[in-house]
Amino acid sequence: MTRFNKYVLITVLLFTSAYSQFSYFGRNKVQYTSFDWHLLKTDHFDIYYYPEMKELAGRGAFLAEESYKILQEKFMYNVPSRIPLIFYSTHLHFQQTNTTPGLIPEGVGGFFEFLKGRVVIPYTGSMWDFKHVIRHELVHVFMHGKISRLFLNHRIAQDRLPPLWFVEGLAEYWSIDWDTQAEMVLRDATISGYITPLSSIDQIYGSYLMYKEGQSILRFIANRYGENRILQLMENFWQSNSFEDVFKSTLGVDYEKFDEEWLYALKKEYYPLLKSLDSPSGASEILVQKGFNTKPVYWETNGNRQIYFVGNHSGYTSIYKMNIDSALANRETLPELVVEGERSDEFEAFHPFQNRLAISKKGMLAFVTKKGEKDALHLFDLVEKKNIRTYVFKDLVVLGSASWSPDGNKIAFSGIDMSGSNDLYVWDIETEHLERLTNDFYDDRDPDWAPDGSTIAFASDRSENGEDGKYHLFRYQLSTNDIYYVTQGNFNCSSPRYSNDGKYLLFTSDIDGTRNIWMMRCEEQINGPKMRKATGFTTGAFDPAWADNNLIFVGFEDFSFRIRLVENISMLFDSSKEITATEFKIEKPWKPKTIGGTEESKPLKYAEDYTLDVAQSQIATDPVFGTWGGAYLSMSDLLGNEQYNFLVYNTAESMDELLSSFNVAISRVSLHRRTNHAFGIYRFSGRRYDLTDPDLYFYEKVFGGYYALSYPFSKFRRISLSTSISHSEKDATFGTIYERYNENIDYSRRALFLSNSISFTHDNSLWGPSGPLDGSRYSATLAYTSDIQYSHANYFSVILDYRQYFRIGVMSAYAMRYWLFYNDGQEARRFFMGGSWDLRGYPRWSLRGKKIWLTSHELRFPLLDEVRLRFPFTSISFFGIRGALFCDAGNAWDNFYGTTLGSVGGGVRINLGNFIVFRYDIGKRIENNFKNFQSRLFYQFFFGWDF
Amino acid sequence: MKLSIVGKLVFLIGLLGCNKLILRQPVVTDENDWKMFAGSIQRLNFTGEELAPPLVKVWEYDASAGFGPFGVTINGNIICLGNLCGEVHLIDKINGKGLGMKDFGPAIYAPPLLDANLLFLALSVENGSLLAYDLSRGSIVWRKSIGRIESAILLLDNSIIVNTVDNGLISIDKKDGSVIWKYQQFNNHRQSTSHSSPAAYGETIVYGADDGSIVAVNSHDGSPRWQKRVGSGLAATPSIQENNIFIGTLDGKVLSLELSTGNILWSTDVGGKIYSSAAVGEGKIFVVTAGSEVLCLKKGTGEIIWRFTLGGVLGSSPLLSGNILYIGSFDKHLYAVESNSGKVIWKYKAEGRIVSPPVLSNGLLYILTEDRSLVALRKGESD
Repeated sequence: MTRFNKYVLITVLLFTSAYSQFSYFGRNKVQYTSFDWHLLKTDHFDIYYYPEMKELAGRGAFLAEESYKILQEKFMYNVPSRIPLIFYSTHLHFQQTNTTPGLIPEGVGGFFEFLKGRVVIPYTGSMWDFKHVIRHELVHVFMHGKISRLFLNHRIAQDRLPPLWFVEGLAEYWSIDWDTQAEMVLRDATISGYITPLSSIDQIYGSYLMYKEGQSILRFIANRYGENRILQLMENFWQSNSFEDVFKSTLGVDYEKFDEEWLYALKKEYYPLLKSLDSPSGASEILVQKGFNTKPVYWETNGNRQIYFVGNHSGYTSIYKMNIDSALANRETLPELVVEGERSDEFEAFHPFQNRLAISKKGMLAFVTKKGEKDALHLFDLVEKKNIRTYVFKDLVVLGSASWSPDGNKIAFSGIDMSGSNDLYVWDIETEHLERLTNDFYDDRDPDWAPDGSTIAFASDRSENGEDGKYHLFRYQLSTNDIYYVTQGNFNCSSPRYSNDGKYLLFTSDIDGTRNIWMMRCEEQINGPKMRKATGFTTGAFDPAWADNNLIFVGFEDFSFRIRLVENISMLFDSSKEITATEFKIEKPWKPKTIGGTEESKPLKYAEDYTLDVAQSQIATDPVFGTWGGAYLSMSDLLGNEQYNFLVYNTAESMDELLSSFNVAISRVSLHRRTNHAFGIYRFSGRRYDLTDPDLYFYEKVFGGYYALSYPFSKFRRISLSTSISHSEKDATFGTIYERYNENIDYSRRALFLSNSISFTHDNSLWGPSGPLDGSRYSATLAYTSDIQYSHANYFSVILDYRQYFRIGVMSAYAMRYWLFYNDGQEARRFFMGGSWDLRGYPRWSLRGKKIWLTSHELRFPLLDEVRLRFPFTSISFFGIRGALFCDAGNAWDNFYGTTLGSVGGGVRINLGNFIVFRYDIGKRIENNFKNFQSRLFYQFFFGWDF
Repeated sequence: MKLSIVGKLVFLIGLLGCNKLILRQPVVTDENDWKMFAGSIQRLNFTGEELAPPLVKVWEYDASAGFGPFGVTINGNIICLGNLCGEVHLIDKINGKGLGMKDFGPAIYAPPLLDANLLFLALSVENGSLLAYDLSRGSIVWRKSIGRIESAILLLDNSIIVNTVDNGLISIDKKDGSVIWKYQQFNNHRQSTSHSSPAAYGETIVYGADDGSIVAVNSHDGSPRWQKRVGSGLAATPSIQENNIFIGTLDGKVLSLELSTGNILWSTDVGGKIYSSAAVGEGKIFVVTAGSEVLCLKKGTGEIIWRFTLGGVLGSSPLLSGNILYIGSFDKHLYAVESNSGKVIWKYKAEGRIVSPPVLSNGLLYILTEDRSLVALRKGESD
């Protein structure tokens, strides 16, 4: 194998196990926190947790066993082996897990990884959410086991699951009751007309809408056909590869007939609502409509009425502002960027649906972002337009919504510590003292400071109904540290907002089945408040904010979160019906149940808990190199922190060569610390073709070892170092093409190579359907290789790769790339170029040289949103077909430069299932040192993502 | 290694020989036979034989695929079982040796019934779902397409009573396979489906439907007697003793109904889904739930006498032998429960889940365990 291919193999070995940590570009999963893993064994679970969250682990254990008991009855199935549950006390800790190789987005609440049967769940502060997610993931565990057992019993050698709408729909249906969230989505989908029938549900594959539609479908099946039909659908799954056939055989109707029934039932249920309720667009003014927009806050300065909010219409979640009067005059007005998120270490990520913004009277914006290991509280001066201060709190991992004190000297916010408790805190900006207001297992959030400074209103699950997931409003009296009820009952209230004069309180409530904005007079908070409805929308309204006498809120419509305005709210208050909340009574506080089990305190040891992840064998044949066969094995521990990879194959063409043709590589990758490292040894031998040196075939034996480490500075930047030593013997030259073979030349060579490299990589790019659309990524590598024994090689390498993407529209961009690949010295290897991935118009890898430079400029834009081919028996859809116009220029040379090569053209890209992109380009070469175009066109078809 | 033509033929014949079902000698039945699911047409899950634990394993037979929830049948010295791969196995009940096997194709949920030398078999397939197979000749006598069958069939005088999944309750002449009568029940203009096995007493046949109805029809002509909706779903098989029907529902109730009228005599909430038929004893009935509970109720009133929680889902019918209740569980255990007190007095750990009811005959207790074993147990030495 050539040295280049050896590095390719090393990269592959590292890449397959370490993913983005060791690939060329990509963001980093940073292990900021060192977890001391403990193990709690219950009847059916092995629960992994760290000591700071021991109480939470016990509660989670109880919820898991409770769910097991319920699900075993629903599935008529017992899981035969113990189930590993891995708990994290916060979502930020969860994002560091190595149980899955990829980065974990904000919206992922947990997952079931079926290779090792692991369930990984973060705590978010809410016991109700914890219960829901545990049960949701256990539904996956049970379904996976039941289906596997079904195939085994029927002796069917298959490994497949029902369609995703059923898998996720059932996980939702059997883990949570039909709640206001599900109701909101289905109402909107039905009334707005985008509900997707079951017969074409693949169109919304993987989306949140699919989850909720699946839940609705199963709910309908249970109501119309009987709950037992759902189990029958699974138990009949073996009958056919087509789930629709199974569906028809079980329910007696095919998808189309079912759609008639189900969609009719939804219309019958939801259309009449329009008689008494309004869609948000029918009864309010739009302020911000593109993308997802949440947590608006109002600020007026010099007569300029503005709202600040968290939005993502560009793809990056950021803080924007919108002038109210401009928005009312022209609904196409785009918001202005205030704080750009997801591009820098400082503002690494927002929590868009959780953290409210707050603006003091002096125009200081307080907001929270993820910053490295923890969340940070930022103070941004809206007048100076710059970030003034950033606070990271030693004991707090996640921060919630903030609220200023009336004098602007303090900020109240909620925070989650290492134990998982979400409590209220007050930060004094001047004294830099942090005061903890609550300290218990209840989930306290959304604080709002009263204008007179005496109380803080907040939402919490500490009421009697909290055990059932109900949140209510409370008042914290700062002078006495007492907590008083504001609302109570079997419904939800959240997001309290005092009016500027302190007389009224706005909040969100679902007391009548839908989330809408309600109000009350503050003087009525004691002894049973009277609630009055401010909005009556069919779908949902939340995140209320005062704008003088007007109401700003987020309305859900057309599967979008839009910021809207209703004027003259006090008139609404006077005219709306009132509901008296349940009379207050003395309640016994609820306490989450916990479970014991057998506790073992032990660090995970490498000798234990290793299981096989991948085992693959392959036989391949080549007309030149003959046949080879081999196997690849990969093992890792339960937490995915330590991995071993084994590769073995043989290329012998006769028994004599068997021993000498064994190829083996063993590597170990360690990911549990912030610095990831890998090392390995290898031995390769066999006939090789040197890709970088045409027509040269040789036999090489090489053995050696390497060590590599990677240190991420942040999610976006990292530095990598590697060193390797290998002994290489090229013994003979042979082949069928001897155009340059000379019998008088001894092509055999021995060498002891020592290679060292250092790389710096940055990547904050935002991806579209076929490649990056925004941000930038670049990498710089320096390497030095020398033969320390025989002095047959001695060269250095410089690799520079810079790519920048300028956003033109939501799905359009101008992309540019600059490459410099430079090898110089004795036996410096060649790079290669040409083809669809770099210099287009030239055959793939046809240009070779020790030095390469390339620049590419490309305009990327959408062509067709969807192309659907409908056959009598099925239909296929292609989404997001995109176009490109490009210009490339570059060259490859050894010592003499020659002419500059180039090409121009256009192309089409089709993304297939986010797995592969097909690309087709047409263009002309630029020839004669950029003086004229090629006379004919070139056509290139290949696959691969845009640069 | 190359096979000669003769060698290939021998191999082929050998292969075919593994897929045949012929009995050269007639079956000799005795009083301890277990001829059909739950022991009789009344589905009482009761045996007059007594076998007390501890038990030890005598032999184990590899039946090559998984099983439905209806156990085996025993006629003379032959055990008949069907598996979910469509194979019927005949096994010597004393030594566990295979006597023959034939692959009929589609999944078999319930064991075949043996009547003299005729084997009656129900299959989960639309076409050719019920057949009569002559064991002495090794050939199919007749085969009918009456729709999928996923419950146990009933041998009633000269007819086979079959509850199909979605084609109603059908009476078939056992000699020639002709349809004697057919009863179909509709719900909202749609044929009701059913996974419950029919039970019979006197001139009445009773079964449960997936929509929660219990249906009684006349055994001679299939005319309806009465129909009663008792819950949201029924998967269990009714048990009938004298004029009383006992059945458990998926809503977690046990009911007693009057056979002649369908009137509900009592209804007891037991808190767990019931998929299996009851074991009926003297003055008591015993039910098991998918919530791992075993309960004893008074036959006359439905009052719960005792209840205990075992391990795992209890999905198959218990077997009452003397004052011992044998119960197979999804947690791989066979439990022996003292019927008067509910206490577990002995348990046996199998290699896999026990999803079918135990069967007792001539001092041997037979259980079907996953992945694919038939295990025979006999009385062992006491500790």
